[in-house]
Amino acid sequence: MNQQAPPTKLFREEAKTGAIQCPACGAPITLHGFGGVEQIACSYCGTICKPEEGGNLDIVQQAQRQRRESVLPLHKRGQLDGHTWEIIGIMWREVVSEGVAYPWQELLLFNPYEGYRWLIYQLNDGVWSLGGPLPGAPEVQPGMQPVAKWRGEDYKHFTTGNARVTYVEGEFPWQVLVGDVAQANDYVCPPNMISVEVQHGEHGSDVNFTQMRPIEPAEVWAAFQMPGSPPPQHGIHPAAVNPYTTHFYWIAAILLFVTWIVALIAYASARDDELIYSGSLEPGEVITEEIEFGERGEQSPLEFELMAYGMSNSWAFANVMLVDLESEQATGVGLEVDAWSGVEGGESWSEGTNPRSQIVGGVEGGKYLLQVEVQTDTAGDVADTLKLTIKRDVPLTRYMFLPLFFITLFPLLNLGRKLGFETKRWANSDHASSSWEE
Amino acid sequence: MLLKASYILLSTASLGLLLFEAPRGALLTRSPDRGKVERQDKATPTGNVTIRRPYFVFLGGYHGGK
Repeated sequence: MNQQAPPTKLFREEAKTGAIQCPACGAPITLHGFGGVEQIACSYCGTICKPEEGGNLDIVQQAQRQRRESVLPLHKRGQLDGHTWEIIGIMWREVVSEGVAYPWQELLLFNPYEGYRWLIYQLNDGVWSLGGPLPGAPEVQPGMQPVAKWRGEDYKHFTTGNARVTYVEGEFPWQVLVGDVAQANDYVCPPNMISVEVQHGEHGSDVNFTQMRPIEPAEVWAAFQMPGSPPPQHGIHPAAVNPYTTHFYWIAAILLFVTWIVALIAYASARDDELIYSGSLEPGEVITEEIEFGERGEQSPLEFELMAYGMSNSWAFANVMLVDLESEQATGVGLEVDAWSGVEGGESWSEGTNPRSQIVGGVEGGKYLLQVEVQTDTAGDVADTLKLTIKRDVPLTRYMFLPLFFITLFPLLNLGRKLGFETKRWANSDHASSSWEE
Repeated sequence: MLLKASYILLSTASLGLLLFEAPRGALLTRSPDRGKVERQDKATPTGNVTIRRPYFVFLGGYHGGK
């Protein structure tokens, strides 16, 4: 009776957990990724090995490099998104653009029930991302700024660069060697980000899609129970939510603007703008006249205006007093008009203020004695005559436009800060000074 | 949050000024010189200048009111 051949195994035998030795340096290696592990990079010497069915390790690439310290240690466990993850592999990569290197560290997290995640730390700006495989492929639309469409969202192209592997340690579910280069294309739609990596090999191209989101350094530090503080963050994550994105200011501005219009109409229409005195003054003359305006106990602003006629290269001054005869208290206002002109270097010039007006507020209504004393210059063409007008309850534009100033200031300020944030975000992209709109 | 609160506060305060203080106009206008005056009823020679009586001389300052 012929012995039947054993059936062909559909899957490779699971690698057993436990300590084995690096075939190159003899350092202990512990397998944590179970059957999914395709490659192990010895932490101590960097030799790349491949687990075989019998549990042994075959050398793929022998190396003798120093172990480097990553931001988080290999095999460290932490709690993220409600699950326990272990760092089973660490890969350092960098993109060099215009002679400047942008390095980052990719920490491969593993949970036997959840699979793999990436924790990515950017060394230049200290920002962190948490990513995982994208369950599908986005539709990339080319253009000046390509867009990746994924589940109804438009992810704008951020950067494209050739990411080179500079350091590897630990276990990986695929083969990765120092010096491997992949074209990394990042697309952002805050708070998410998609990375499309294309690696050209002997048997065609390998395309990987990863979805990422920003994660706070403190959250990472707390999740992995790291001592001390995380490295400081001094940059903006490409997918960071703009903290100045809010509808509050525009909604509030519209409501306040409508209120301002109503208040403006109510205020302007209630002003009397009443002329209470208008008279001509002779230079050197002192006039006194009894005037009555408003109601006792009611205060309103008065506008005094002095205008000189026939005056050139001269000045005139009027000392205006409103004397309350009962209390012998006076309200005094000095008004000076001047007019200067001449020719200098073949060009004529003129300056001065004529007419001059001044508003004084909070003047109580009642009966007053108006006393005006006029002085004029002795040189130049002295004014032939001066005219003084006084109005009460005039509309004051400073009160009218002060609310508009505040109503528009804050939304504009917030808009400036929002644009500033976007400028800073996109400064590290291939599209600096564009893509401000979300 | 503080900025939002400041926005509402300053905007409503300035609207309040427009509605309730602007008719009086005492806050955002120049303060005139206020003070006591002295009455002069007797004519004094002042050249060719015509001075009608009574004439008041501004003493200025605060004199304790009346």
